[in-house]
Amino acid sequence: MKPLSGPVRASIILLMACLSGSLLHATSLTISPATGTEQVGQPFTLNVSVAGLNPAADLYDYTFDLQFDPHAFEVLAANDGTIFNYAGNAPFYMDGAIDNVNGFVTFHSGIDTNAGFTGTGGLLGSFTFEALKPFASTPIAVQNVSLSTFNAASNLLPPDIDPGKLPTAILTTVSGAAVPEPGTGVLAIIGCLLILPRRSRRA
Amino acid sequence: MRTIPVNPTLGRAPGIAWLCRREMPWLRILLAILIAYEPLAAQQTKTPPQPVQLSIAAPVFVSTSTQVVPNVQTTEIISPGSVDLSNPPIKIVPQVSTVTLPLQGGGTNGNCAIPIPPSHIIQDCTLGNTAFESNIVSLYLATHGRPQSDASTIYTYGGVELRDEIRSFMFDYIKGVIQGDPSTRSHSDQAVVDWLTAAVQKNDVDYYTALTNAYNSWNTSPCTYQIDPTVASQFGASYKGEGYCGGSYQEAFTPLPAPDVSYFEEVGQLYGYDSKLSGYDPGFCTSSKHPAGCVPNAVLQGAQILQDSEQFNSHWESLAGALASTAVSLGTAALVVNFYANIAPFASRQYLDPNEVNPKQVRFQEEAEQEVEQNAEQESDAAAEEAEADVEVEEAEGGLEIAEGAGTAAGAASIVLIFVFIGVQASIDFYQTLQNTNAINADIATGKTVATTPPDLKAKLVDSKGYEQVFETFIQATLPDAIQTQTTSTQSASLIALRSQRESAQAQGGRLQSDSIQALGDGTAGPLPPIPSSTPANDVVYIINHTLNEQTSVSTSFNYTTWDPLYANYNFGNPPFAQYGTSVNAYPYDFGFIQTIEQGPVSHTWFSPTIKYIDPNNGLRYIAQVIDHGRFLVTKAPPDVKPSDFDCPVDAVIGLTQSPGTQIPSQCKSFIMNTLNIWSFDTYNTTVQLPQPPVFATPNAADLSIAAENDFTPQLDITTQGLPCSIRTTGTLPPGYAFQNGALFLHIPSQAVPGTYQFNFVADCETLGLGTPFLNYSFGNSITTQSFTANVYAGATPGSGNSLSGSSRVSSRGSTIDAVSSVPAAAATPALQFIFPTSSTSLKFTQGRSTTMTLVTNGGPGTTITAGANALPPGMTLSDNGDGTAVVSGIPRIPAQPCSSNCAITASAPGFTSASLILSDTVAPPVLPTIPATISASWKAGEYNTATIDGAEGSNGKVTNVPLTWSVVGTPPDWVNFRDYGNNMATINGFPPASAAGQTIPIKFQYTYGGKPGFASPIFTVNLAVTPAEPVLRVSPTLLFEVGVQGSGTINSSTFSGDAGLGGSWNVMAPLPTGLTATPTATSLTISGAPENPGVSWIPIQFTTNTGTTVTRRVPLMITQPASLAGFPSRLVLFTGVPANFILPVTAGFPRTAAGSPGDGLPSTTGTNLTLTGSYSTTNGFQILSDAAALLVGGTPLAPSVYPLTVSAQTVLSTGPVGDKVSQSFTVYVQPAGDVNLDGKVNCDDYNLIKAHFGAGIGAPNYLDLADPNRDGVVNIRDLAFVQSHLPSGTVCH
Repeated sequence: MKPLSGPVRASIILLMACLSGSLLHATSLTISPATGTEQVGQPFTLNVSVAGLNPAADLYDYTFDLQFDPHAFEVLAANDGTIFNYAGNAPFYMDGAIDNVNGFVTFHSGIDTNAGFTGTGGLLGSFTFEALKPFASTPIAVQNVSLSTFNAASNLLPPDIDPGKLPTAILTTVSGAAVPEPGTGVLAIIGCLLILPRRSRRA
Repeated sequence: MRTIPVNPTLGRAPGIAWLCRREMPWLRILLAILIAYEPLAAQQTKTPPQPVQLSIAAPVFVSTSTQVVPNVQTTEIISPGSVDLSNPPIKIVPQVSTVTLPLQGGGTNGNCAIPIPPSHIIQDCTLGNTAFESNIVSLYLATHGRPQSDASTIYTYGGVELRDEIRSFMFDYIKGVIQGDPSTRSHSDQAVVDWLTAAVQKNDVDYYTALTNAYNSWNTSPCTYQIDPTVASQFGASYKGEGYCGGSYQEAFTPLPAPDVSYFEEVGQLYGYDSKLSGYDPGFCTSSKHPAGCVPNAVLQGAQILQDSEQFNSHWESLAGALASTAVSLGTAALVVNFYANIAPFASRQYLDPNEVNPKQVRFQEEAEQEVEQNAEQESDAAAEEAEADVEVEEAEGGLEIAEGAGTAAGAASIVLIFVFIGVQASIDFYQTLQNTNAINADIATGKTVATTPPDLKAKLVDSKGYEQVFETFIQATLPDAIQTQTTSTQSASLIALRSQRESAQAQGGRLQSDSIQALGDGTAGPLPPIPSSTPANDVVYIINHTLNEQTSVSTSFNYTTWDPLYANYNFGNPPFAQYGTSVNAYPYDFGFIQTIEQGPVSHTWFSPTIKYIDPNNGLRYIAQVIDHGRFLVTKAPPDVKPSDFDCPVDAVIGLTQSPGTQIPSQCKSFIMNTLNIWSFDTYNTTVQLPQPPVFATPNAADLSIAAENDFTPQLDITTQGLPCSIRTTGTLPPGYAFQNGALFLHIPSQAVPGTYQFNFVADCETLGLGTPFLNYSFGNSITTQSFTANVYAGATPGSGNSLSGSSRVSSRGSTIDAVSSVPAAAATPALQFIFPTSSTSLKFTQGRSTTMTLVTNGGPGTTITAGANALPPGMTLSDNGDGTAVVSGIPRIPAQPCSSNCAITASAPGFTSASLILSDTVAPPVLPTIPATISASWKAGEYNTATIDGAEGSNGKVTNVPLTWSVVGTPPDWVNFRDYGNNMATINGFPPASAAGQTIPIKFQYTYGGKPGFASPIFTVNLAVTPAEPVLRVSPTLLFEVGVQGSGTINSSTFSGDAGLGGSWNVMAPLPTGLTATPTATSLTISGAPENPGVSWIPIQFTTNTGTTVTRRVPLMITQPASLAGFPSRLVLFTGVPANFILPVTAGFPRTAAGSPGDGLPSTTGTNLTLTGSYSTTNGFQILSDAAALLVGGTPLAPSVYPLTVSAQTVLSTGPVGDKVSQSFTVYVQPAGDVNLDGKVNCDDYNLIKAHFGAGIGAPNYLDLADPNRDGVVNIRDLAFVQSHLPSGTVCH
């Protein structure tokens, strides 16, 4: 048998690694955007999602809190997730209670009413934020997460899906003047492109 | 308490103790064989006894020099003998397999090519794949009277404690093989030696490689040389190479003055040996230094295992010495004898080099550390002197320095401390000598040949450094040790879960957690086998409490205070001895004890045959190990062994060193007893004993003569220790015979009929249950039945002088008796003659010893026996029984005198020719103790002191063979008590008052023996020098408080006996609980106030007398709190088909759970006594339990129902209740799953009830318990999801 070349072997190993990773059903929560810069006074949306769920142990209900710095942000709205939005289902979503004084959105929750969810992930909640003041690297954290299967819910058992490491978004808020306007940025890029070829030729 | 040896001859007594020492192993074996044939082994109960052959044909001579019965004047009985001493006992012989080394082990410890179970002790891939371990484990079990099949107990329950014992046992065996004659080694033994030789050689190669590299590195650049950082840190050494920088120094010295050879050898030791152990230390594999393939070790550090294993050195030595009384057969298992013989040389371990002043041996860590400091100080002094003598060298030196007192033992460091610092000249000298250079060169030269020259293990073992290397190599083969501790599965899994939750809930301020089922115990090596939850019913402990007026009780366990350094952190109570440590509960199980830390900083449970206890009478530390049923081999802890100590022999008759319950002389380095005098955690001086089933010492058959009217008295083996026993009969006795007062006798002669009859003797051992819940407790086999055969003859019995051929014999226990056709109904009358003794019977009497001998003739009633005036030794008399027998008794006064007239004993009967007998007797002088005329002892005023007078050991090492009666002469002070123990030992004890300090009190005493008038010894004197008292801190009455209530308690300084008057200053060394303050006076410290929070605190209190003596104690302080149900739920809703798993704790109160007294007069408690009254259906699938602090609800309800109940609580101490009893109603609802609003239906009303309270936490105005069905304290999506999951299919609520 002809031995596989190095690149082929590497590809197979990489593919096997990816497959094995998916088979392990390592549940993870994500927050989006995880990093970035937001402009003071401009609303922006922050989504919390789950991935890596095991279809054989369906998610039935979830709840979580968001924690943020009330000096840097305020929450304008907490919106439903979409993870249980499938045909024939009438999901129940409980939008979290917004506490802009202390910096919390609490009990943001959902139930798969028909208990028919078989996916591996989806959107758990969407939040409309607005930055209040310029701050560098301000966290918005997901906390108090509970992910349960139908069996756990119906038998009053503890949550039985490990959410893994809880995510935190690190955002920088800047005043309106500090954010380059799109046009300015384009001009800067064009300038760089014009300069680079000349340097290359000199080298 | 002070104990002094009064009899210095004990220290040098050779005798039997000498036989047990190493110098004469063949004599030890001979002695062992002699002692092995004793009735003791009849205790073996797992195998039936051998068939007993009844024989009275030959008189049995019983030595007069062995048995001394305590507290009674001993009477020596000389008779034809009812005990058949020729009956060899059945003992366990270990199975052995041939040890054959595989060609190569393959792999490394823990990762062998041929896997070795992690539970095995040997992990080396070569040795571990041989039969060596199973052979040694079998031998180890055999020493405990256990079969090979019990090995599973070791592997299932054996923690590091037991495994360390066996490690030591294994190494002792190997060491014995090495030190024995190579020409006599078996194939297996040679294989083991070959393996160890190869392993040591491998380490030696690494040793010399590291040594050579270190020297070369230094020699290449002494100016910039950096010493090994590990050695530097362990020894606190530093190196300054400036003196070597530049050319002048090199020119002045050729060769260069190098650091001392001991430094380079230490580097070799570190990398050749020590690191092989520390490589398995916890955490090593996570460090940056770990090698590839590192195997993490989850247990103790290798050094600690090494040290712990070494503690048993003297133990095995003593076992070898006492092998005669172990359960191993010597007569049938020469193999075992060889094993022991191999172990025996381990005795030489203690003094490796007789030419050295100080023994080079492994010792405890603290000793090693002390020596480190001493060595460092000495070397510093030496260096200073040398510096004055040789200025030139000092100026040029770039040497090493050792920090004084450096080197806290840890990991490999402790190995270094234990071995190198002691065995090797540890100082790294400044002075450069040619000898040093030569030594280094010699080491380097040796290193060039070590790879091709196998090491001489025997030579290594007689050198401390070599011994260290061999021993470390063996321990290396036993790592990693994967098993550390076990959890105790004392409850069902569900209950464990509930309790775990309760603890979690309490820790979190009452918020219930239902998601963490945590294991109990402290195991760190993954899932571990559970230790049995309870001891078998037949394993009980008989306890005599000396502190409580000798109160007796029976329990399934006993408590003792351990001196084990592993658990030495817990300093409790009034410590009469500094070494008092942690308290341990021990439950007899199998061949050892399940032991649990009762009080201490660490929760720990383990299984081991070993008890490390402290003698409460003298503070000596002992290691006791169960060697067979009910008997302990006890050895002194190594730090307490003195050079004058010796192995105390075992009495061949009772199988013990001395009578049960008697005080062992402090000079006994080892002994065998079936009682342990221990100190329990509640400061009780107790004796514990493992009661054994009764064993008959008399045969299972006897010949009875109607004419002689002889009787038979069944007796129990006197080594059957423990509970009192009685004997009765079952079945039909021979006609005319009766059993009364313990004897079978001819009751109505006219009804007697010759023949063979079979019935049973039943020994029934009661149990003393005084003060315990075990009244009439049966330990399983406390009743033993002996099937007995009585052969009834009309005339004389067979073997009694006439030839009655064909007489019946009992062939075996319970077996068929031969036909009785030969039983004579009317035999011819024989000639009158003496049966016992005869003129050829050599009788030996002892001067001064009470003796009784029964003369037996073949005559019957009407026979007259008389003694001539000179027929008996002076002091002896003859009493005719008128039935053909007579009793000769008395106390021989003087040696037998030549007899010329009236020398005969005459028997006569009408119609018969008279018979006469001239005794062949001698009267030997007794063996008496040798005691100096004057002895000195130092006693402490205000403390309990004891001086032991040991008269058990006579001159020339022989055992004193007459019972001595001790008495005090004159009138001693009233605080002196003199006690005669009745076993030839006595004590002088007492509490000297403070006023006696500075005085020397002479106490005179003597002994007598031989009845009255008897014989008296000279008068001896003990001069008691009384020294001043030391302070003791006592609490009066207690430090018991209640939350919010003003209270106080006082700590007084006093003498040990309670005398006040020791003035000084006080220091409270930790913050007192909030609300309490301390107020000192010269002699007391009062703690008072109204504390704010409940709990038990241990407050370290320091008291310094005016003379500067300081004592520090941790004193327990308890703050109680009345029980409260404020906030306790008024209802609990369960759901059909949904598992219930709730804990409802009492909301306030302390102590909450039942607990014993922390000491110092503080009360014990039953906790808050949370109880449930009313009834609920116990068949409805769920249960509600109460553990005093919480209601535990478990199970899965089956059908809807409502149960109105009541809960109540009250904190109760042993001194009375704290606060009032509180009660409230408590209703348990069982509803359909999802019906949270209790309307019997599951619909959107339930759903909406939860939504209406969504987000509310407990304590919030909107919180409703019904809306929180999982009772996690918050109404959230989990509650809503529960309802949603039980709504009818398709139901959508909004």
